[in-house]
Amino acid sequence: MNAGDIPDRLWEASRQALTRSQRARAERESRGAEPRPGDVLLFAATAEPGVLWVVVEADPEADRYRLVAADGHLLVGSADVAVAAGAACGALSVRCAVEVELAARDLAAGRPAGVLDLEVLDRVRGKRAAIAAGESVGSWLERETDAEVEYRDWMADVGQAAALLARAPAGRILEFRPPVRRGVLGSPWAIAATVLLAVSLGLAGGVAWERGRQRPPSPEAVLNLPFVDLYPMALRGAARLEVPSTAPLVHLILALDDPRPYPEYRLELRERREGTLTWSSRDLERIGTRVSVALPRALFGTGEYELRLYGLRDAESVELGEYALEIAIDDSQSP
Amino acid sequence: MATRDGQDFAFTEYVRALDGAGPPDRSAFAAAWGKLRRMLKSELRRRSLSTAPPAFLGIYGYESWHDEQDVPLHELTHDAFTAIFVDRLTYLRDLLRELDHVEGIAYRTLRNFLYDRQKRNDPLGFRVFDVLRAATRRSIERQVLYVLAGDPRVRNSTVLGFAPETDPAAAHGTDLGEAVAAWGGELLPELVTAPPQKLETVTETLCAHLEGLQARGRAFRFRDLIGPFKDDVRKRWFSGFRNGEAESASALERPGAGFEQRQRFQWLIACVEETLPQLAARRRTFEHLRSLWTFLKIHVAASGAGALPSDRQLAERLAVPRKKIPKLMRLLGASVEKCRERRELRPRTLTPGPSPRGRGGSGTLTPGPSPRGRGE
Repeated sequence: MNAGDIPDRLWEASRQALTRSQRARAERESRGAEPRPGDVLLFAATAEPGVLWVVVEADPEADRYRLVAADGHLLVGSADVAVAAGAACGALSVRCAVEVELAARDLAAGRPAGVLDLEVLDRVRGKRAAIAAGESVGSWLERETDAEVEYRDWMADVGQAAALLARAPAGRILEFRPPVRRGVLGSPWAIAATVLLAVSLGLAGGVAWERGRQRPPSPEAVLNLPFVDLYPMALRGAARLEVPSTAPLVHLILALDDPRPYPEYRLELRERREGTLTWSSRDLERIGTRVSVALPRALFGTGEYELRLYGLRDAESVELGEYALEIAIDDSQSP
Repeated sequence: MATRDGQDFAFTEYVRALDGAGPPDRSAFAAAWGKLRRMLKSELRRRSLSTAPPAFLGIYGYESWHDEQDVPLHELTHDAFTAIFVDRLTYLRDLLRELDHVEGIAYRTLRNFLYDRQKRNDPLGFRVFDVLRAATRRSIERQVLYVLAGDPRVRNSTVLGFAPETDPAAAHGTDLGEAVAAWGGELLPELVTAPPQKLETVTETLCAHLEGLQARGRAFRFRDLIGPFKDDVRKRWFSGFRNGEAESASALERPGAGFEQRQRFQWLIACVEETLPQLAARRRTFEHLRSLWTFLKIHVAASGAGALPSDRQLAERLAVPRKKIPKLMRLLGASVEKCRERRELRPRTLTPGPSPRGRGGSGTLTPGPSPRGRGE
């Protein structure tokens, strides 16, 4: 064999892969428009990082569909399911702990992109159930992968993709219980779970416990918290968020364009038309490449807001970005 | 060469050409193959792997990438092509329905492939990179180091400095060889053998060393840090071993050249690693087995590695009680044999199958399901 030749073996493997791929596409197209568990979907918003979505639960009556992320990255952690190359959809890594809920109208924006084999779907469901039950999941090698920088970086990207997808009108990222292990250098799940409901849970439960020195109350989840990913205005322009008037909090996640870390950050929120300062705090800390804050819904009315983020070091204050946010208060759910 | 605006879109053109009714287009296939080969050469240089033994990336049977008119590079291209354009063909075809091109995603998959290959076949080089990178990023978070230029996620080309306003050009000529040469001694063997969950002390020690580099210059490239550090750790790892002192037979033999041999070897590694927890009833024994297994993989990949060192040397290097070494080696040997038998007993299929772990790097003629029972 000469080094410049293309091996016949590879040519044949490519032919076979194409046949499988064509068969998979035909099968997917024959399933009809109704989303079903096992369907793999591709959304324009998350195509660029190469993240697909697998429908894992479908409840047409309630109009709720649950999807987990899937991608072509080779690294597989403890909360993932590796799909082999010989499967109908080809090699994929299904990220069972990155889950988004959408309504049917949101799903309509997705393109059909294959079907998971039933056996693989069962494995995905089994792993989701184990994660939810707090069981130890994955092999020892997969648990070691959880701690690798490369893997954590990629899971942060998948978490961002989930946040983008959950911007759909009825979208939300679901809470999950990740397999956090003590001693691991950070947890990819802490990054991937961009909703950071813990912020609001901490506010709700921790203060009462400190005051009364009582047993800590069982935390209650804050469901359906409206949230938005904000990027510097120069990069993405203004973001828009519909906020139910009944929501207790609005969660803002601000992406940092500046890689330099600062000991603390100050955020100012102003109502754009009047320029009045609505809220400000200098106690923010960076989490990965983001800072995040859950603000009382009552601070907001329908209108345009601007946020300015500053990095603080000693006496120095450096403006890191201006963010624009348009809020629409939805009164339709008011009693 | 398929170009648009001076850019080479050979990967995209190949995947797009597959949407026709017929078989893959030979010329598009050849263009994609050629581009992949060029990218691999460049990536090997960028990762300082072009002068390393091909075995570090799972290509056994050769001493250099240039052996037999670049056949090792040809074999690596074959495996990378399989991981990207055979195993993930449906994925790329689907993405291309929404994207203008898949050049970036194919390149990212290539980088994943090389990372995964090194992780499996060169545990020492992989571990040194991963831990030093983690320590560097921690130092950036603590504002001991600043990213002056390049990828903020820290890669070989990233330029780092001790003050945010430092000119990245200050990195030119910074020589860290002498400084890092003192680090490895106190970090071994944990740096190489400890599970990632137990690397906190090693990482913190490296953070302290990084802080101490301020005396050596205002800025440096990560490549200029990782290169000499890795070389030093490798040297220390093998220092003091004398060939011909082996008391235990190695449980793992170096495979020969060729696709079939390579695939069989990767399958064997995955099979043994899957069964490792079952070999040890106690956590401590498992950790000893894990260390010894890591040692054997490093030994097999090392260019020109002869017989194993003596049990005493092994015990010292791995911090494992000497009297346990023969038993641990027998356990691993039995596991290797069992896995070999499992493979021989499997019906051979002609379907393009996965690698032993069900990920990338597969090819055709893969025998049966993976040892992990995933039906792969």
